[in-house]
Amino acid sequence: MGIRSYIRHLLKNKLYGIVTVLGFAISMTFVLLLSIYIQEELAVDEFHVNKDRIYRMENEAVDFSPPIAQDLKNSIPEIESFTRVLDSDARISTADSQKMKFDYLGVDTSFFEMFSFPLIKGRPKEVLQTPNSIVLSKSLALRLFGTLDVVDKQVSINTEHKFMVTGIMEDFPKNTHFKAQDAIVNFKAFKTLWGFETILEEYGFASVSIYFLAKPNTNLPAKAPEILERFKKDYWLYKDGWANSLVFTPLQDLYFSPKEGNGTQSNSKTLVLVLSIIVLLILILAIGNYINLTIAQATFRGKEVAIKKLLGSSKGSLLLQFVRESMLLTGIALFLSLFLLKLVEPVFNSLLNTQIDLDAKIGFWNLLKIVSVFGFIGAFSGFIPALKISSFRPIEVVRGQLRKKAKTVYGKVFITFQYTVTIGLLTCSWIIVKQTNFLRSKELGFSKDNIVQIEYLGAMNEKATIKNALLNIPEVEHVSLTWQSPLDGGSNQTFDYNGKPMSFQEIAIDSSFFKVFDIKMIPTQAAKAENGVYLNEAAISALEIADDPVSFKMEEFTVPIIGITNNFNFNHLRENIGPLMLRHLGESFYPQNIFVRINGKGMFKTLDEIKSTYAGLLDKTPFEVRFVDETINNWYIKEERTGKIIGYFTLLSFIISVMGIVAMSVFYMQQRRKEVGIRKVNGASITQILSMLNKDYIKWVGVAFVLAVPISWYALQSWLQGFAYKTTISWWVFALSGLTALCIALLTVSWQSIKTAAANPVEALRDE
Amino acid sequence: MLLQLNNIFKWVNSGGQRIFLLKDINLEVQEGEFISVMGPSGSGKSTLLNVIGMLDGFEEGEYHFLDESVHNLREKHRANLYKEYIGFVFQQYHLLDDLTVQENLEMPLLYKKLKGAERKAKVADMLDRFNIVGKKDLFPAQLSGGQQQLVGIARALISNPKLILADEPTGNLNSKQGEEIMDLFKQLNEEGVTIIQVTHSEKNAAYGSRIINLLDGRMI
Ligand SMILES: Nc1ncnc2c1ncn2[C@@H]1O[C@H](COP(=O)(O)OP(=O)(O)O)[C@@H](O)[C@H]1O
Ligand SMILES: [Mg+2]
Repeated sequence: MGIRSYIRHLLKNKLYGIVTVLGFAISMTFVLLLSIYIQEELAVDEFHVNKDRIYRMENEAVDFSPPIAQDLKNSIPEIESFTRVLDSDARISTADSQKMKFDYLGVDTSFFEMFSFPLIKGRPKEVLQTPNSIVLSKSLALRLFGTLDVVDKQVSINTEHKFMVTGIMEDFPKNTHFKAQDAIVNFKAFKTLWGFETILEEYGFASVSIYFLAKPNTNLPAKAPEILERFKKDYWLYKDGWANSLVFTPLQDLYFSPKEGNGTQSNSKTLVLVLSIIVLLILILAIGNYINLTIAQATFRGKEVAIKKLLGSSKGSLLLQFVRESMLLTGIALFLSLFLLKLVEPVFNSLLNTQIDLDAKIGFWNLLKIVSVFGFIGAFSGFIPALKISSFRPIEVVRGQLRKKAKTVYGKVFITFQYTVTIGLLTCSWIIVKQTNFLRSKELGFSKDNIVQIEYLGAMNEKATIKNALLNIPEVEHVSLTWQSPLDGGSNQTFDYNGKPMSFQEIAIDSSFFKVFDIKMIPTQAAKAENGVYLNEAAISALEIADDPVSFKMEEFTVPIIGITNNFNFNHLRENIGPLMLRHLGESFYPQNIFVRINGKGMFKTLDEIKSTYAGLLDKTPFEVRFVDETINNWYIKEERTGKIIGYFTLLSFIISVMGIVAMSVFYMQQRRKEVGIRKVNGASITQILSMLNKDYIKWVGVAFVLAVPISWYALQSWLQGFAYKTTISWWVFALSGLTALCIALLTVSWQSIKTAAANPVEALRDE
Repeated sequence: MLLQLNNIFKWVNSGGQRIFLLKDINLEVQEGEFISVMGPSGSGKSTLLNVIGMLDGFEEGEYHFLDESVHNLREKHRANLYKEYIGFVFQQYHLLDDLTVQENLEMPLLYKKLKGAERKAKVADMLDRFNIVGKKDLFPAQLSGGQQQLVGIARALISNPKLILADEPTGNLNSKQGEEIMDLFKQLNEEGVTIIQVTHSEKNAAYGSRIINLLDGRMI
């Protein structure tokens, strides 16, 4: 006896073997995968040597004025150094390369000393010393020069600004809160790049992120209240009520911060939290199923144990046998799941848009960790049932009383738990899908189809020429030039309105704008006024001039209102529609976008025509052309990704729990065979037996439903809080999830219970 | 006449071969008889009892129970018949462990659609008659084997069957407990209940009025 008899036993009980090993392996695959993912997400920015000393200063947003950094450094002794960060994009070229679009950060000289982004060429202290130094990313250097030996070479930004390459850095890794950047320049470069000579002294310009490196063993965050007091006295941003709070957020919290800084990327803490909960659920289900099935199996292995005990086997050696068997099973599961892990990795990466690199992760120590986790689970889940089985009194087994003992309350609790999980997960994924659809189908207030967006790259005096050339294409209906657009949220304008701060978003448009986007605009009495603006309804109500909307006071100027538009969306639907001002794109206003409405016939031919017409008007500058509806659909990619991830794992947990439910019902029925036989002999009919067997399951589903509803309602409520537009958490979603669970219960149970109920009682009662 | 078996054959097919479990059984049982079935292990005693109890079918032959031709009856009808007239007693008692003595006794009545009050009355009667009122709230595991078998017999009797089929009712009991059970059967028989019991013990068989010997599925 021993392992060999155990394997024979497994082969004989195929369902048990498959459910146990496969279910466990699949579950553990995802537990591993998700754990690695979560671990990576939580480790973002951990590689910085100074990680414990770096803070970002934050108010309600993360925007401050450039001179503030130096002011604080001068007055707060805890500060060792600082770097301001401002992101931008431009076109870069070398003497003999094409112009390329690139993203860069303007930072202070201490940047590479403060953060640990590795330099391939150049020294951290030296690379950003002069205003015209530039550090290229490895990939940009290769694109521009084809080599990394480019220190001291010259590059041009927007043709006219010459920069000297002083260093090459590795591309930013994925695990930092900074987005990948193509280059880093000295903050002072904005003086020339933007023609903003006073940027270092300009308090009025409050758009830079500021990072501080605190001196060792100091407590910079504790200084925040003191600084806040000071700001409230002498910094206009606080004095005038634009900002009211001040905190120093530690570097490692930035990745999960909802505040978007300059050049940052983030992940939602909720997603990571939800995934952690899912991992835990899968783990509990997997281990629970395993233990549960093993205990259920106990009834069928009772004889073996009893005989062994009668033959004088000690309790200890029996325990050992069970633990060994369990370890063997988990061992098989471990190999299977490592294999599956490799298989699923690319799918997972493409789903979550992550770059989990298993080969890098599965090092010796991690493997050791995984093996010990499996070992522990194996030992644990072998031990519990072993304890139970080996404490059966052999005489009871011989007398056929063992079965009864294996019917535990614990089994019922676990089945109920599984149904709770099933119903909860079903409900949640349903609502997530519902919310995503809701956002997608939400009325934008403007038409998004058949509009092409092109960057405006012409010269100031070419506006009319470009517009007319595009209008000459027969399939083109309208062309509008704009500065900002309904797709990017507009530019923020804040002004004093009758003593109150007022914050509007602003877009500059030409007269074709309303036709291109099919936006409703009602002219006011003052429609003919010079220099008038259009406001949306939200702006009218913010100004409280609904009675007579002809003009309003912006600081000391009176601005005529020439038209009112509906509250069309000009931003992501996570946000509410705020006040919007549309002003005229005057002669001297440089547009950013060209929006072209086409009639939709032969879309791709039209697109080609637009491209070639436009290219003919420019020098070789490359440009981007996009469909507006695609851009809008992309807004929801993050939501959809979250939804998808949660959806997939929900499905997975669902499958695991259904597997468990099926297997449990098989054992449950086997345990009740004898009882069914006795009842039938005493006159019970098949229908009576069936209803008795199914009633239990209906009861458990009922309890599970009562448990699952409030839990999932609460979870969904918190999730939806993040959206300005929320779908309703309809009662019927709960009802349908409950019904689905009930159907699953009845299907899985009936499959077995019909067999049990119809069985000849003689068989069930015959002595083995 | 209570029942009559004519030329009963029962077999199972195994590997293309017919294995006979019962061969040409002819048996007539009058109401009020007390029959003991004997024979070596595997000779078909339990099988015979199950056929008589209508729990198991047979391949050939006729079975008349009271006025009904069992071999022609539909499953449902047959179930009604044994529910009404037959009670079973088993070697392993086959009580339900999750139910108390009282609930175990009540169980067959549930399937006869008796009203609650009626059930209570019958259970109380039975507890009284078998002197186990004090044990009514105990679970089977809390009883001795003899007491469990007492409950088993009480349960078989509770729906007033005409026929009790007992398969080695004393097999798991010591001789004193066995004797008590046999005395009980004797008494029941005297009250008019027909009893067919399977036993290995000559002594117990002697309680019966007639002994049937089985060998290899055949009556000898
Ligand atoms: N359904 C069946 N299939 C195959 N063999 C059976 C079946 N039922 C009973 N047997 C066999 O028939 C023989 C008689 O069984 P049984 O009536 O239980 O004997 P007894 O009760 O006299 O010991 C035994 O050898 C048993 O294995
Ligand atoms: Mg037998």
